[in-house]
This record gives sequence, C-alpha cells and structure tokens, in this order.
Amino acid sequence: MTGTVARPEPANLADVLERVLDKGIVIAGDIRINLVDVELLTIRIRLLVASVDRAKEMGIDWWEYDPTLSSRARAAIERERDAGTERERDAGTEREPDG
Amino acid sequence: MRGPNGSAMRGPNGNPMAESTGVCVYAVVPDPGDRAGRAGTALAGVRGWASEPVRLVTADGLAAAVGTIPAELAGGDRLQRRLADPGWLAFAVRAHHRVVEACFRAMPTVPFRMGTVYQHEASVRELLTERATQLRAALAVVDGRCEWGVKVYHRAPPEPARQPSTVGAGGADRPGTAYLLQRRAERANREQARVAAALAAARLDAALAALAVAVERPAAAGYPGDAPAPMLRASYLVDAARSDQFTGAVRALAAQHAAVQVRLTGPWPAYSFVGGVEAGVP
Repeated sequence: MTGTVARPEPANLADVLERVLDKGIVIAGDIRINLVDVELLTIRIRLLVASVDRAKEMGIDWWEYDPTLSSRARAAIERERDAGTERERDAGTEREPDG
Repeated sequence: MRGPNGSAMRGPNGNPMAESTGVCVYAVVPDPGDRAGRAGTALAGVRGWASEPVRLVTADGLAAAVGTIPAELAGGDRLQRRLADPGWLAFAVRAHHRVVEACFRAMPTVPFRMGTVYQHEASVRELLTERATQLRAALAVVDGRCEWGVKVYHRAPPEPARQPSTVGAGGADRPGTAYLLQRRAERANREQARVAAALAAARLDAALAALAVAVERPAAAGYPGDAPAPMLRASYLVDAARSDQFTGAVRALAAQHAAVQVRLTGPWPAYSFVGGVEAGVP
C-alpha cells in the first residue's frame, strides 16, 4: 500500500472472508451448517496458519481477541486483561507505549 | 436428520429421505419474472460450493439463488472435516461470494449466511413464502445500494534519525541524560501522532456516515486482514447514486489527513446490512 489515497482495491481472500463469514441474513435451513460455532474458531485458526501467506505479520494469536468467537476465548480474554492490569501495575508509569 | 418439528425428514413420497443432496441458498432476489432474462444471464455459468450450476427457485414474488450440492457438503462430519481444510473453506467462501456478487450485479440482493442448506427445493419455496415479509424488508434496505468497507490505519511518523553517537560530541559529559530526553521526546511524538490519527479517523467516519444510509462498525477486532489493527473498521451502506460521491469523499479525506492510511474496498453486496433488517435504516 502506498500513499494515503484510497481507491477501491481488488478484494483479496482476507477481504472476502471478512465480508462473507458471519454476515448475510440468518434464516435457518433445515440442514443449517453451523459455521458460527466452535468449528469456526478451528477453521479460522487453521486457515490463518496454513493458507494465508501473511499469517506471521498478522500475528497468529488474533483469534484470542475476537470476543464473538467463543466463551472459551472470552474467558481467555478476561484472564489476559487481568494479567495485563497486573503487569501495568507492576511496571508503574514508565511502561513503554506499545507499537 | 430431523425436521423443524423434530420428526424424521421424509421424502416427497413419504419415505425417509436418502440424504443424497442438499439445496444450498446463496441469496434472495426479487422474482425477475422472466428467468431467462437479466437474472438468467447474470447467473449463467456461475458455480456454487460444489461447482454446481446456480438456479433460481421462485415463490411469492421472491427468488432464491440456489444450487444442488452433494450430501457430503450438506452437513455432518464429512462436511466439518472439509471445512477444517483451509483451502476448501477459502474455495467455499469465494464460491459463495461469487454467486452473491453475480446476483448483486444484476438485481437487489439479500446475501444469505454461508451454509444455509435445505433438503428440498420445496423447503426453499416454503422459506420464501413464510419469510416473505422479512425478505421483502431486507430487499427494500439493499435495493439500489451497495456496501463499502473502510479501514483507517494509524500511520506512524517516521522515526527521527537518532544521533549516531554522542560520545566525543559536545554533550558527551552526560550521554545518559541526552539519551533519556531523546527517548521521552520520541514517545511524546508517537503519542501525539496517535491522537492525531484517532481524530482523523473519527472525522473521516463522521463525514462518511453523513453520506451513507447506514453504518456498521463491528466491535470485534482480529479479522485475518487486520495487521496492524485498524483504528476504524466500518461498513457503509451507500445509495448507488451516491457511490462516486462517497469514494470521492474517502479519497479527499484520506489526502487531508497525513496521520492516517485509508483502505477502501467495494462496492460489495450488502452483506453487513441484512442481518438485522431493522437496524440503523431510516
């Protein structure tokens, strides 16, 4: 990506995934394939690790922070948040801003 | 396989169904009447999940773009195993999108959640009839409109060239202090840049929302394309007649704000504006 100028870019796989998964009108079929549940977590992880070439620069732990994914993920986020608060307290005000 | 009332599904002749195929619904459009016309042309050659041809099933003035898929794609463990294959999932997502987009180019289109599968075409007709009100409302929302995706990223200011070495220079007597002061200044710069970018993102969002019919700002971070995480990720539902104005505004606003980098995708079918028909639309 160069420059600030935004012109519509051709959709890459990540764009299409983002647009399509979890979107669209929900009307239960009589064989509804539940893509939104736990499976999706697995799928997304594997997809990310195995087939998206930018997996590394994306950070392979992104799913942990997607609160829509699962209660387990949510629990992990809570734990992470608590731990983060602890760390901040320990580090005091001199904590290096991230990024 | 159980029906909605919990009874075992029966075929048209009353026998338990052999689960040989399923009917996958990709999108709903208004019944074009003349199926060989615009809609037929739009869907000609378009293939779905199972590389199957896509056809329209009509009822009650509505039409569903469907394809008949083999049982192994219609549910069960084998499907789950296939979905766990990222290559196949990527293929399925693209196929779903291809069908939806083909409809979208020709007609008002309500995209369906990927993986909505029925056992029979008759059930799809029932769906069109039973949910006609909801589907018509959704069609009214998306008619003549498209979705634009906008992501705004913080553009970090270039790192100032650090003094190569202060040893031997004038301030060499207190190199530690100089270093800390420089670090502090850098940190302040970064923070300032971050605030400027957040402000720019908020202004951009407000300006674009004013041109849109509805806005969706998904709360969850962490889609595959998000690296680094954007300061703003939003979808705007825009009247087709205003699309040029909208993209022009994105371009102009992006050029105004050096602190941010803007990524625009679209026009998309209105994927983000059909889940909750009543949400955010005047």
